[in-house]
Parts: sequence; C-alpha cells; structure tokens
Amino acid sequence: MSILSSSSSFLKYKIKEDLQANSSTLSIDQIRTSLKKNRFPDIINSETSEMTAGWTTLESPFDPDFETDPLTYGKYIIFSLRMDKKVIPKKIVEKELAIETKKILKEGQRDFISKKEKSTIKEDIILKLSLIIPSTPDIYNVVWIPETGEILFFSLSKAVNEVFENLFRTSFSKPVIRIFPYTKIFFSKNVKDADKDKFYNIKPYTLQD
Amino acid sequence: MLDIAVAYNKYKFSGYEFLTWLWFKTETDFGYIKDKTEILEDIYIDDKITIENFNENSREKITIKGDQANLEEGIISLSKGAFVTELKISLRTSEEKEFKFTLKGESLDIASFNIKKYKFSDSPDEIEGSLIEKIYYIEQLTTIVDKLFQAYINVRISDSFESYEIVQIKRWIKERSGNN
Repeated sequence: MSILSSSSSFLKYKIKEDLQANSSTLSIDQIRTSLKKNRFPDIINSETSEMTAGWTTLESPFDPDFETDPLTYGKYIIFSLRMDKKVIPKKIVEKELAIETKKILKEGQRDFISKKEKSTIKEDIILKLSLIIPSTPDIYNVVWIPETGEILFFSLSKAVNEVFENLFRTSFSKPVIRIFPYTKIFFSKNVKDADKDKFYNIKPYTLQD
Repeated sequence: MLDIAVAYNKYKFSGYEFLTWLWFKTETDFGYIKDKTEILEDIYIDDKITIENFNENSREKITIKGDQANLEEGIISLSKGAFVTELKISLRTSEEKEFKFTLKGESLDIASFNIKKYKFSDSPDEIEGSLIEKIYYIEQLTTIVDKLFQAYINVRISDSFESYEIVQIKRWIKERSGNN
C-alpha cells in the first residue's frame, strides 16, 4: 500500500462542510454505508468501460468486505480508491490495423481505403481488443482525519485527483477542496483577515536587475 | 472565495516565490527557520532543483541534479529572473528523524516523502501501529511546510519586503554567483 511504502506522494484536501464545523459530521456507520454504496463494482462491463472507479478497503483492496474490514485506525478513517483502466498498447492497434487494412484491400480488390473508413476500422479493432485485454488496477489510499475535516490523498496525478474529487462528492454529498497556496491562506486560522487581503493583492516580483 | 481553478493558477507564483525564498533562507538564516518551525533541527536543499523562467514570450525550464556545487547553475538562472518551481529538501527533526521529500511550488504538494533508515511494517499484526506512526510523521512534515509558508507570507506582505527582503535575496544571488 502506497501509504506505507518507503516513498509516498500525497496532497491534502479540506472537506467543505467541515470548514466551519472543523470536525466530521458523519458517523463511521454513515461513512461505511456510503463507501459500500459506491464500492468498486464486482462485475465490470468490459465492452463499455474504459475506466472503472470505486471505493475499496485498505487491507483487502481486491476483495473488500465493507461489513467486516476495518476502516478506523486510531483516530483516522482509512480506505482506498480503486481505479481500473483499459490500457490498449498502441503498437498492437497499429499491427491489427495493418493486417485488417491489407485484408480489406485484397478481398475487395481495391488499392485505396479512405481516412474515414480507416478510422471506423480502428474503432472496431479497439473495441474488439478491449473485450479481451483486462483492465489494469490501481489503488490509491485515502486518510480521513475527522478532527480537522481534512483528507490526505496518496496520488498527485491530475486525472486520479479528479476521479477522487467526483466520487467523494457523489458518495458523501460533500465537496472536497484541494489545499494549495491560495486555499492554505484562505482557510488559515493563524492569518488575520487584513493579512489575507494583503496576500490576495500581491503581484509577482522579479529578481532580475 | 475565488473559483478553485482560477485561484490555483492566479496564486501559483506565490509557491514559486516561497521555494526560492526558502532556498535563500536555508543558506543565510537557519536560525529564523528553526524559530518558525519549532521541531526543525536542520534543513538543506538536497540534490535536485527545478527552476523556471516565465518570460513574456517563452517559458524556460531547467532541472539541476547533483551536489551543492552544481546548484551554481540554478543561482545564475535566478539572477536572470527565474524562480524555483520544485525543490528536493532534506531535514532533521528534533526527534532525530531525517525526512527527504520534493516540494512542488505551484501546489505545495509533497512527492517522494521518505524517512531515512525507516521501514513501516504492513504485516496484519502491526499495520495499525505503522499507519498511525506514518501519518504522525506526515502531519509533522505538513505542519513544518505550513509554518514555513506562513512565515514567508508574513514577510511577503510586510512593508519592508521590497526595500529589505528582495535586496537581501539579490545580494545572496550575487555573492553565490561570485558576481559581487
């Protein structure tokens, strides 16, 4: 698991509803129910799904049991986002396209295939390959800190962050706000409002003489 | 509150400025940094810096890997108007733990966080203890970064920023590049 690996990358979110309350307003049972409802599906529709995402548990990411698997570790609630993605190697598509194009030309005794026809052939090949190539699973750990209403998320990939943010909002009816320079100051309790206003008005300076 | 995507882009420069200032401060005034963070015993720039120059017409990016001597190239880039966009940092806490990590300027996200000579067990009997301990160190690190960023912002919005701090940073750049 990435959280315990020797090298971890992570970012922080603040849960929007918890900004004022400064604590989680959901009980662990409610969290467990919401996770279960939006769990990673047992069966993936391989024909239509390029990417499938859902929650899973920390200790059994590929066979979770939301009734019995632990979610609380000390004062933290820890679970994971599972994302399975179809990765169809470009070179396999190119190879199949070359074979199919040659076959069509030979069978139809033609010497030309239009760009549009080639594109349709390529789409068919990708669809056919997606049925036989399994999805690649990835697991990203989530640490929910109820006493501060913060979340540590263990991926810096923009695409993965977007999936996490959307799934979290769907599951818990609470948006998460990413922490970066502006939000760090905006939410800080140690910075006075007058100083926040000064920060909002700063402009880049130059070190060049 | 600004729209998140707008705010991210509008203020990412403050993260670049912060990393540049942090490099300057670690080399010139460690006592100041130690005072602001309380649990910091030592901090230094490790073996990797990414520097970018955001000119009006072009964007130049250089990544410098190597020992301290090779960071001279980075100093020269700063004198040409560039800012640090990623910094690999090593620090030692008052609990004698050595953290290595990369701090991203635009987001202040932390990448490749590693604790020297430390391994967390994921065996079922020890997993809870390991998780609590790892999160403890992560929170320690994020607190240090938050305090340093806040210290920078306090300096940045002060009346003497332009007349004193920028002058000091420029002087450091000149001295480091042997151009004094």
